[in-house]
Amino acid sequence: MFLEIITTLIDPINLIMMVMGMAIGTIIGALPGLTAVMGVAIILPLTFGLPSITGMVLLLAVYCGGIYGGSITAILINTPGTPASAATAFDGYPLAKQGKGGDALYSALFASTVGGLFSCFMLLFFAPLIASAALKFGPPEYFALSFFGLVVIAVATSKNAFKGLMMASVGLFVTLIGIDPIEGVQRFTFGNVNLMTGIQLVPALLGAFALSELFEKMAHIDDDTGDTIPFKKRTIKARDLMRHWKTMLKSSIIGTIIGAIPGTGAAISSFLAYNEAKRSSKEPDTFGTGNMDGVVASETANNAVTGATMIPLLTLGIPGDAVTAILIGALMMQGIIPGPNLFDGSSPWVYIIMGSMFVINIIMYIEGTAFIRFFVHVTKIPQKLLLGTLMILCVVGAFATNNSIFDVYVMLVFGILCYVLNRLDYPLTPLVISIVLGNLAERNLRQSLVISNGSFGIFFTRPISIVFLLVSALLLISTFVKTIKQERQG
Amino acid sequence: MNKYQVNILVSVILILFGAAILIVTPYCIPYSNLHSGMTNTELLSSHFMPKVIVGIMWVSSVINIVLNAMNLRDAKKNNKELPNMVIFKKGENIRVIAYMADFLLYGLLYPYIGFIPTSVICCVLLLLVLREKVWWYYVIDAAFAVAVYFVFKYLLFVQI
Repeated sequence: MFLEIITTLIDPINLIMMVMGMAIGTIIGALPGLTAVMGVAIILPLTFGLPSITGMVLLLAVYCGGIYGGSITAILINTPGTPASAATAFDGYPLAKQGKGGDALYSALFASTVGGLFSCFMLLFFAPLIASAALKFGPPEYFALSFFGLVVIAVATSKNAFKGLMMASVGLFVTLIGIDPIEGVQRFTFGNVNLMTGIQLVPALLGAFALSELFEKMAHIDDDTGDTIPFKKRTIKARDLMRHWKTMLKSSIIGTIIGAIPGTGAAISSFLAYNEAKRSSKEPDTFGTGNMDGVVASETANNAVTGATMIPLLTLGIPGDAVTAILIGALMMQGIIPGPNLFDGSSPWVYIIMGSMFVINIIMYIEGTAFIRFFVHVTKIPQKLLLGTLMILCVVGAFATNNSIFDVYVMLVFGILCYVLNRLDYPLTPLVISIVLGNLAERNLRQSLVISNGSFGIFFTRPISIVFLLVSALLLISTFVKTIKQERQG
Repeated sequence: MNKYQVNILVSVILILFGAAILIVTPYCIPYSNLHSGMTNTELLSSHFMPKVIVGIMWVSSVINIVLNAMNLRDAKKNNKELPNMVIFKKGENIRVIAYMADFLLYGLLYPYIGFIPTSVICCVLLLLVLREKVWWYYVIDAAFAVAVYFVFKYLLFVQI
């Protein structure tokens, strides 16, 4: 099996996809307003015609590249390409203004690689352990787990837990459309044959994450993105950065822990790591004025999230954030169901995917070092040109899912809905994650109730189920109280 | 509208949406006799989940209304400045609606005239809306549409 993993990883097609994905991701991440999530959503249709491993490594490379790419504009024009790089701009931009732009960009790249590789090791270590425990799960445990996932996403991704729940309920309703998973009767299809298979995940995700961002970009097309500070060649080497090893280690741990928790993400981890680096620094006052430790902390942490988010996805089939929700969509298109069964040893698929994360991070370092002077020109790509090309990719992506124009309309409806909700300050992630988790939760809830002849007692007789439900209840109560206090204080 | 009013409005819309789900459920989901003979058949039927979801919708919306109504009342009582929500600006709004309409047109034309002509028409319209005068932007968009078509059809073997 080991040989098969290695040969697949060094397969020229897979390597080309990783290099290509990394370049695309870096470019998308570097474009202000376009996020890694959007990059993965837009590239998703390209994977339909590819083998599952090739498609997945392409998407993972776009994801890692997207997170790293955000640092380029954060450093050079003080406009983070992605929210995950917002903390990088605090010190990266002042460094660039001091003529150390090349150094800051190299530090960001080096730190991103370290963070990414660290989280890959954690993925390789923890994923099989969690998967072996999850193999013992039955419908009650799976329901409790998906319920926990829904609660965490709904309350953690929003400042107002009630808004999160409102959005989650809308997402859950969307999953009702189509054929009932237990009884096989039609639900809310209104006689429309296109709705019989339910709302497809890929067009919904494209609408929510790509189209809504494009509408936002269209609204702000005239906004000034700021002046780019000219790129200056770096003067530091990798060994110079090793004196930041403590910051890198701490930030890697922070990023990995945050990434493994559903509903959090790269932006939170980079801010936490930045604050921790500032707190433990001997010169906290220099943070914000061009301290390299700030850039290192933020970039290590945000890339350490990339491998960690794969832990709940691969072991439990639970998407922790928007990107992993899209990856689930990609897997479903390939007929692969993420979960503990992937680790049963019959196929090296999951180990190849985990191994590819290592290769992708190494490619990121090589590509970043060699082509950084080209990537900085990405900020000069005219926004007006992008709106047309991205429109084409979105439509193709939605259409190619089922060769159905209906899916293009589904994407448009979701795009408009999510754009409006975003403007009204309602969180989108609970809505989308509920669409992914809703079916899993419902199927297992009802299967459990059928097993117990309609008694909810089944969920309280199994230890794992009790733990997940109790933690969910505590989380709900505590965030409700917190939200009520916050809202009442204005 | 201020922030509190917007939140109340969204919550009311969601409550009405939930009510609509409950009203249409008996007409949209046929009863199945799969679980006849078992106890608690209502819990096992396909009518169960819509009720649970509407329950979540209503409870979270009602609490959201109460919280925002209390904040609104307090702000008015204390003559506090209400946090305004600039949701839509006129200029932005027109551009975004035009972009949405462009997408809709894409969907309408696609089945009749095919991918490449639709893409070119919609991209040209988009650039015209943006009053773009650089001619080669139009050429790049058209070339991109052709490239995407060939990549999907002949490299990835995905029918578009």
